[in-house]
Amino acid sequence: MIQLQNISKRFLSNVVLDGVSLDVQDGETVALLGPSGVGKSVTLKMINGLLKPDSGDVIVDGLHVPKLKRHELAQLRSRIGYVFQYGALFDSDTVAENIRLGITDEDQHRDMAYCAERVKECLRLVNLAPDVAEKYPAELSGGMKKRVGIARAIAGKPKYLLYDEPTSGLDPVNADVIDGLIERLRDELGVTSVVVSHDVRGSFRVADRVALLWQAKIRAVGTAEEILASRDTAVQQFLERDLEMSLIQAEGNQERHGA
Amino acid sequence: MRVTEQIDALESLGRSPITHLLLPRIIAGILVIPALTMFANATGILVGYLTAKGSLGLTYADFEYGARYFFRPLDLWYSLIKSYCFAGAVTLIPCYIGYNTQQGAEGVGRATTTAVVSASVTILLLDALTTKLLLGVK
Repeated sequence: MIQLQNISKRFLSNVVLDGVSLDVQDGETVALLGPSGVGKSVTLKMINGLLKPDSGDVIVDGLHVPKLKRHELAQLRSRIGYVFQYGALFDSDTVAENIRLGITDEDQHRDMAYCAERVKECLRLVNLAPDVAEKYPAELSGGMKKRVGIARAIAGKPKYLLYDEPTSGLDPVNADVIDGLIERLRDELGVTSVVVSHDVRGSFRVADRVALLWQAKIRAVGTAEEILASRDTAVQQFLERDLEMSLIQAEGNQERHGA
Repeated sequence: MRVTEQIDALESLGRSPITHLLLPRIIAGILVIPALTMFANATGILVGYLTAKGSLGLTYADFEYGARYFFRPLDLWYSLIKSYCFAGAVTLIPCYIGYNTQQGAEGVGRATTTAVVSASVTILLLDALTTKLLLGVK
């Protein structure tokens, strides 16, 4: 279980999070929605200890993350898969080597036969052909890089998966593929997931619950139906803005196809 | 790597960026730069011989005699010690600054400039210091 308890964070004079609390139950997928720059990625980085809150507590698996020592944090992180916004792949390593980095158990990491099998299995789970393993990140499309990033995150068989904007920068077709993948991994692996996104439609599709982060606070938490039925002005404003963006994108797509 | 989150990726995988990223670069620099310096010393002697032979008509025996006559082992040690100091400066300083880069592409540009300037100034200072310590020049 992941618990954020009254966490606050500021960078210089900019208050990014102000008393944010959220619980994510085991096996649950929660989407953290909100406009750009509102602190969604900061929240995610606090869950695996990449950032520390100024105040409040982050509890994962019963462990108080900000108080963990370096080796304890490394142990906890081996149970948390993190999918970075732009993949964060190592350009000088092949896809197979990148995925192998995700095998956090040292004995398994040294076992080359196990690693080869695990890389193949992870590529299958993210719908990539086995021959992709020998390619370099520069040879992959944006969508493929994201999927390799997901493959690396699941290679260590984590209990928790954190997705940082998994569909940003992708066209609608590829975004749908990634959303489908998140759903599939949730069903096949039974992991507890937190998905940070500003894509309302995708979040409603993949998440059991959605939390809206607005002006440094959690403004609403609930199922997709509850969020859509919310009378909160901030929630309505955010949803309307997303709808407008969708219409603009759809018009753009129509114009491109018509031209 | 900081800006494109690869360092965060290593940390989130429970791996140390220092052993995975920084240490190989520092070890490579400290091994290769002195080796390159020795190679440059050898090339200098060879080119010196070829120039002496081409322009002055010196024989190999004359050149060898002169080279041995003026040779001081301290010169070799001096260049080796200096190269280790410089190797430390050109690997450690940029690695430290790069590792702590922040604020996106602008931060990378600033960090690159800072790294080059800091390493260059440190080399000048180390050059003065090693000259003073090893050769006793006032």
